[in-house]
Amino acid sequence: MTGNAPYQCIQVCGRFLFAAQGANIHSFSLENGNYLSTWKHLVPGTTDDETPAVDALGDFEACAPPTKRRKIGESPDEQTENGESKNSKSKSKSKPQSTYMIPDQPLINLLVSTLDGKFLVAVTSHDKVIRVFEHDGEGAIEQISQRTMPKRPCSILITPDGKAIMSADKFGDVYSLPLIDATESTTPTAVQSRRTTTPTLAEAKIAAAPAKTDIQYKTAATPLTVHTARNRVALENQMMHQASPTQKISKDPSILSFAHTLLLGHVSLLTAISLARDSRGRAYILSADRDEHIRVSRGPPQSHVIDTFCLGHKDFVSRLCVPENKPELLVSGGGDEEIFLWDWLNGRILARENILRRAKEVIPNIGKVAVSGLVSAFQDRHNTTVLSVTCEKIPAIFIYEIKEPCHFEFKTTIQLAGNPLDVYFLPADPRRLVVSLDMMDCLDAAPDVLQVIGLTPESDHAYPSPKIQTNKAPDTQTLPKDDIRKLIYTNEHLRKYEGEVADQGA
Amino acid sequence: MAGPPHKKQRREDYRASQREKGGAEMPQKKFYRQRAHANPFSDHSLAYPSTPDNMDWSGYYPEFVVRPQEEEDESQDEPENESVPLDKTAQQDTEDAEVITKNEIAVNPPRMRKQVEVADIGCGFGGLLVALAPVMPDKLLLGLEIRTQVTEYVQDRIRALRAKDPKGNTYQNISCLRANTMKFLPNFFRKWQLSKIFICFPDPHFKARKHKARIVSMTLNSEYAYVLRPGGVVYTITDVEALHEWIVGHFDAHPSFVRVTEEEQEADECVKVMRNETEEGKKVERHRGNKYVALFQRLKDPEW
Ligand SMILES: C[S@@+](CC[C@H](N)C(=O)[O-])C[C@H]1O[C@@H](n2cnc3c(N)ncnc32)[C@H](O)[C@@H]1O
Repeated sequence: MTGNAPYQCIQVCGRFLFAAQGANIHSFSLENGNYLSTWKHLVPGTTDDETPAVDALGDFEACAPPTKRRKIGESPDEQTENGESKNSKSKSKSKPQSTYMIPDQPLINLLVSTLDGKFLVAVTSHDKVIRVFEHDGEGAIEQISQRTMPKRPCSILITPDGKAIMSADKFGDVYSLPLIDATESTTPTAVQSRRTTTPTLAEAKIAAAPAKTDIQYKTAATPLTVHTARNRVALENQMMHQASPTQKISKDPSILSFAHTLLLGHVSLLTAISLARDSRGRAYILSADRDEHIRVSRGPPQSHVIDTFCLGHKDFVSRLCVPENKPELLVSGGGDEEIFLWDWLNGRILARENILRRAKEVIPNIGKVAVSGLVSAFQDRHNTTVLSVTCEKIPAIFIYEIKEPCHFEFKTTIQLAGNPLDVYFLPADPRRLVVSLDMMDCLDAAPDVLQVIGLTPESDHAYPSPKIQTNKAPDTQTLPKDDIRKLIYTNEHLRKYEGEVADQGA
Repeated sequence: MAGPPHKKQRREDYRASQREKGGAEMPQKKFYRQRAHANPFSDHSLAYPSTPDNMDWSGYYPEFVVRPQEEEDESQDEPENESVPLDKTAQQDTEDAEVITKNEIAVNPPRMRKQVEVADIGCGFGGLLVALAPVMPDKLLLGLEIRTQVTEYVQDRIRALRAKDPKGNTYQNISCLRANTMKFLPNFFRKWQLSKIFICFPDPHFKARKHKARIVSMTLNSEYAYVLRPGGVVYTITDVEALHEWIVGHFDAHPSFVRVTEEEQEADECVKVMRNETEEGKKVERHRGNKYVALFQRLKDPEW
């Protein structure tokens, strides 16, 4: 690719714009649009750098041959393929599976920063690594840690105090990890009795020392155990594997070498997490999944308590947004025609807004949408909460205001020259947005793939926006267009295939 | 799923004749066989309501549907069946009001005199439900089962039992539906709706990498706590000692649950039924296997 390779995610830190292209992060000045620097993810064969990028923390998968393909969409199927008897297997293959092969290429799929902009966190999806970067305050970043998660993180955030990362993964689990990884030789402290302390959900699971629940199982069944012949075979297999004695109560967490806590888990692919506080200042975790659920759990250390669910979506949920100035509200969107406004604490729908209708004004012949971006900003001068909604492969931004008592008021559609990949309100001036565009089909040599645009033409005139000098940034994208598309358009594939619906009568 | 064509045909013929006879004949298990495991992570083609308010229970417990004149009698308010109302003002203010109203939240399933209070998770062939029906005649019991054929067997079995009673009074309080409980429990049950959950002889999933498929885990226990009212009880039984330890470990470590003492456990009539009346329990009995029982009470949530 030359010149017009897309940036799949962006993050603004004060005067700086960080934008991830493939597995690399470029930075730009938001004051004058200048290109500043690049953090390069080193993988043999994909960069001009010959030094192997494999390090102690296991970048192993990054070196996998580029032909390796990765499935998305379907939840933890690989776990269970052996659970089916042989004759059923051939049959389950023949029915449509909602799986989709994407190239197993190094790619940053998530990029966030601390409120003060001093640290950035990125996830490289191909190797499931969470990377923390220190920002020098001048637009240059340096990686200070990398931690390989058990499953691919699909949504992350940094807690407002800047101390912890919360990561929601493909298998439905939400982990908390300290932002700064102080993995010294941890002296394991035994988990105390749960009634005297208030342990988080996972402490018992994760404590390095054998705790009450961290029993090392010898064999999973006694000779007296009766089960099917197949179970007996499984048991024999297990006995044979006794040589590796590390089979503990938790599957993978026990192999993580760094501090982490399992906060909660769905049995579904998680798509989004958010933190919110109620009017009394109590913290909650909102987690959304591919099976239409939005769960409201208490914040740590009580994340094991589910207070409610926000139910009403008929298709996958892909994005959540808690307006900064109205933390009692939640906007959600996904595969449904509508986006929802919730009183999340009570699981109550306050309003819905048909987004498909808006999208059809841009591309008339579509029949469905997948929301790919929901961001809000508070314009204190007008005391309004603005919401930007973007949908996968729809070249427009839909701007709403969230109004009292609680509804969406449509403001405008901003037509774009390409599909929006990520949108960010400028914190310093929420009348303007930074947007990253897919301009791969643009014939210009160097189209503006990162743009700062005003919400209204007036604000565009009043505050001329800098031209982001993406043409000055090194071109680090080597993949063919089609592979890039597969990597950056992942929301529509969360949709389930329509099968026959089982009848409901008893 | 379905077997070879001729088998499938026989099965359908059998079921059709069953229905013709008014469903009074006990179904034969051999026409309902299905492979032992269904993947709890895959999509299947499940039917489930998007919220408990949208669930139509009338076909499952026809005797408990509120009849028209009853409806008038108590038309004021019934908190149990209260649906999540749309904010009326928001509805009017939004320019898309017409879009909102066509949504299914407006759909009102028939109202029920009672709501389900006891759930049998992975109910298999329904032995526990049938045995518990007379033990808790004033409560609605529901079996949830992921395998279609097995679910249909239980439904036909209950239909036959109901038809056998000339007065039509018994077995009206039990029913069975197909569901993946690991994903969709909150679609069927409201917060704190249940007083008892049974998990009998769950699939052991021996291999460590399949442990996430187990029906008891720290993270799933939070969902059980959500649908179970404080003071409610989870009943578990298994013949696999290590699975029993796993279950106990995961409930003990979960702050919302405390183990019920052995004394209380043995005094509970449901425990006797659970030991002896489930199909798996009987199988284990025949092989003189062990049965490990553990009960856990749901505690009140701490202050937040
Ligand atoms: C070993 S059988 C036990 C049946 C019954 N409880 C008994 O004791 O006879 C376990 C049952 O759980 C069902 N099951 C497994 N996972 C399930 C899930 N996620 N949702 C609903 N049922 C499930 C299986 O299909 C199977 O019928």
